[in-house]
Amino acid sequence: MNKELQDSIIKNFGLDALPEKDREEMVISIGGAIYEAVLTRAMAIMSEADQDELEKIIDEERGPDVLLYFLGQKVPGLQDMINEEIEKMKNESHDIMSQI
Amino acid sequence: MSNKSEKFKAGDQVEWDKSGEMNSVKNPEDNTSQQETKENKKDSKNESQPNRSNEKINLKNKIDKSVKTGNVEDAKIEKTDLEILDDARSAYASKYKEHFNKQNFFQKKWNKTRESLGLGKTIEEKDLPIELQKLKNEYDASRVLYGKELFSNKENELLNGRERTPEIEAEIKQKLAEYKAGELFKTLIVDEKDLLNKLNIESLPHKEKGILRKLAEGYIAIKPRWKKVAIATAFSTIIVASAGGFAASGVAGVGAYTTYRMARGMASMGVTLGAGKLFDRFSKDKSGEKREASEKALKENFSNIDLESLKTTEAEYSSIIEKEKRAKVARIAKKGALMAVVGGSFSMGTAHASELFHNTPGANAPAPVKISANPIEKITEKESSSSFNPFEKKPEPWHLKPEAPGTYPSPAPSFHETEVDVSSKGAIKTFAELKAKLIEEYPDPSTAPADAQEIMNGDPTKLAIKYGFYKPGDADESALLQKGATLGIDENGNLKYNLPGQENNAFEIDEKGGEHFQGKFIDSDHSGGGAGQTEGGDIPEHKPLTKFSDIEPKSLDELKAENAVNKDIDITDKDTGFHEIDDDRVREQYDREMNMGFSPKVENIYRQNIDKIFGRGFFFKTGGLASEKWGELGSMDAKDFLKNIHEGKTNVADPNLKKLINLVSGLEKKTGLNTTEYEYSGLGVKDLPHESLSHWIKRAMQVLNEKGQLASIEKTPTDDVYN
Repeated sequence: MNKELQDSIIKNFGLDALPEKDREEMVISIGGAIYEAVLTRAMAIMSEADQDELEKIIDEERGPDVLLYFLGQKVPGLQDMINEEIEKMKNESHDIMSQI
Repeated sequence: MSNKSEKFKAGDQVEWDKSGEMNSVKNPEDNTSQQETKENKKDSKNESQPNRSNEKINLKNKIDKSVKTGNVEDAKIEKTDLEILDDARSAYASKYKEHFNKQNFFQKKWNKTRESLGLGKTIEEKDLPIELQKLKNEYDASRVLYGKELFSNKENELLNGRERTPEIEAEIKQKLAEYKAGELFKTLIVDEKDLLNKLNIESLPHKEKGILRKLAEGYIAIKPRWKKVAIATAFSTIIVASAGGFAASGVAGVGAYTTYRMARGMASMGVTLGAGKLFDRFSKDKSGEKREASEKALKENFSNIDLESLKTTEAEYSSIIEKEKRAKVARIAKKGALMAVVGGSFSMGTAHASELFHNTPGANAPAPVKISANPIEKITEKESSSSFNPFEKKPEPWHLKPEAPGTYPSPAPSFHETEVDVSSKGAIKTFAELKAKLIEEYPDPSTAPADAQEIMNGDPTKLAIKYGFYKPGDADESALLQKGATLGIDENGNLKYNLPGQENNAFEIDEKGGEHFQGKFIDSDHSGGGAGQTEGGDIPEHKPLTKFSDIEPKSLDELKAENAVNKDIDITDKDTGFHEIDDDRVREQYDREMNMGFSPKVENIYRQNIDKIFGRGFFFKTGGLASEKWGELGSMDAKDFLKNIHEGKTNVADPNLKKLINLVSGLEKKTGLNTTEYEYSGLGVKDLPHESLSHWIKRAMQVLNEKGQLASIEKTPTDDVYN
């Protein structure tokens, strides 16, 4: 993985001690959890029509980029939402892991 | 608290059923309680995790005390920490859902207002209700308790009864640090987040639940691995969303490549802020040394990814580089619109990025997907590969599938076929017709395949010579073209010449790899000047090309003597004898309507000429750059303008006007084009009697373009036309 990004994630989530070989797996796990949290929030504020359209995109297997494009168009403040979820997880990880 | 929420606990196996419901799966061979089954599973997977007990305790009191004192040890453990965690999570999740649903109700309303104001900021998840915050604290405290227990168990496991020597201490310390940053972090943070997500999803209506299930399955099944890493990274680091973050990092090589992909992806998400900068920084042409360095870095940086993926990556990267070159002009042209409609403008750019997500071979058959709720159990690649993956299928080429309203752009990985029947007037005419058709089909020439661009930009006569249809100087100079044969561009972007009823390219390949017509030649014009003839067709008429410089406008003195009275430079009705349409709104609509349909090449040549005459000015209403003076003149009645030229009733003392007159005279002489009276049917405006001068000039240039003679203007400096 790109070093700059990796460093950023390590810094954000305090994964310094993690062996390099496991870091990528961790990023996939973190990304997956945030991805799901964001989509759950996004889905809840989406209109019925947009939900139908989103389902169509998924069913037609248009790809993640089209999916993200769609979400970007239909969910105002999606990026803020992603950032909030990352922040939330980052803070939680710091608060909890620092007590152990 | 919902029953569903209580149903799922850490260690449960969760499975989505076909209706989108999430169910806890019990071992069918086990008649013991579900809790005991999970305990057994857990013990077999990770001995560090504590066993559950069935002892009843007053959980709330214990956790309350812990939260109140800030000391998690105060919560004396009479129930296992895992049970405490399960209960705390359920309590928090249940309350959170109430808050979440309420917030979403207002968020939906807020979104409408926000959209109407053009704002993008979402409501932040802060200032939770006190009750919810308390439950959150209890949940966090229980995570800490559980984490401490796991950590302690791990320490004992590592010590394994050995004496604590400094060496063993150091070894254990390092391994515990790894454990904490890895497995424990995943258990307490990532997997807990995942469990909360699942519980939140459960609270959603059936339909939304179903969509989220598909989305979750899609994420799990993304292959190859680096693609998943790329998406995960986008959701793992805020830096990706920040133009400043990347700009400051000064990434190069694969760094730039990765961020390029990420930037595209993120840009497609609607990141308007800094999109222009991101675009500049990450999508610049990578060629020569830079490309080589990028490819080398790509190999090095992706070396921790399996080789199969790497090969794909390299090939895709090369493909991106090629496409980038072609799209360069279009990017520049569209960049201006980027900031306003980042998603739309990026749709072209993301075609490249999207290819990265679509080139994995092998479609996966739909299969039931198990999503592990066990923090310890990992989802393996094997499981992923057998799962239905909604992200894997290659989309249809966008140009073959017209976009319906409400659909979203797909990548454009291939070219479409374009062909024309060979002309009865020969190969030069055929090339000219193919050229016109290609120009029409590729409004953005940079997106056309190389062969098509050659045709679009080339001179039909030279093309006929190059491809062996025309051999000037030979007695039999013209290729005898078979009736029904076609000339065109195939789906691979190559020039093709197909004989009637045959699909194979009939070009002969020479030793240098060049393509040539193979077949009979005739002396079509009996003078060595022919250029192809259709078998059984007419002998083509050959006329020498009229050069623009052949046009001889009236001399300045002649015009002065005939007409010029007013020596003022200002352009007025008195100078030109023209009148304007008074209603600006009508004029604007008319111009807009009239300016539709010209090829970009014509628009470019038009603009170049106008700029040359009047200089660049403001962004005027028909959408092009033009001077204020041309803004006035261009909207005048072309018919009157031409009439005044014919009658010499123009003021040529104005140097700009003089040049314009020469241009218009030249175009008229070359094309013989009359002005047209258009009827505008849009928005209730009808019977607009005049064709504007700007429109007539473009139309004349379009005629030249169709004749394959526009290059004579393009290649001839405008000054030459007038001198």
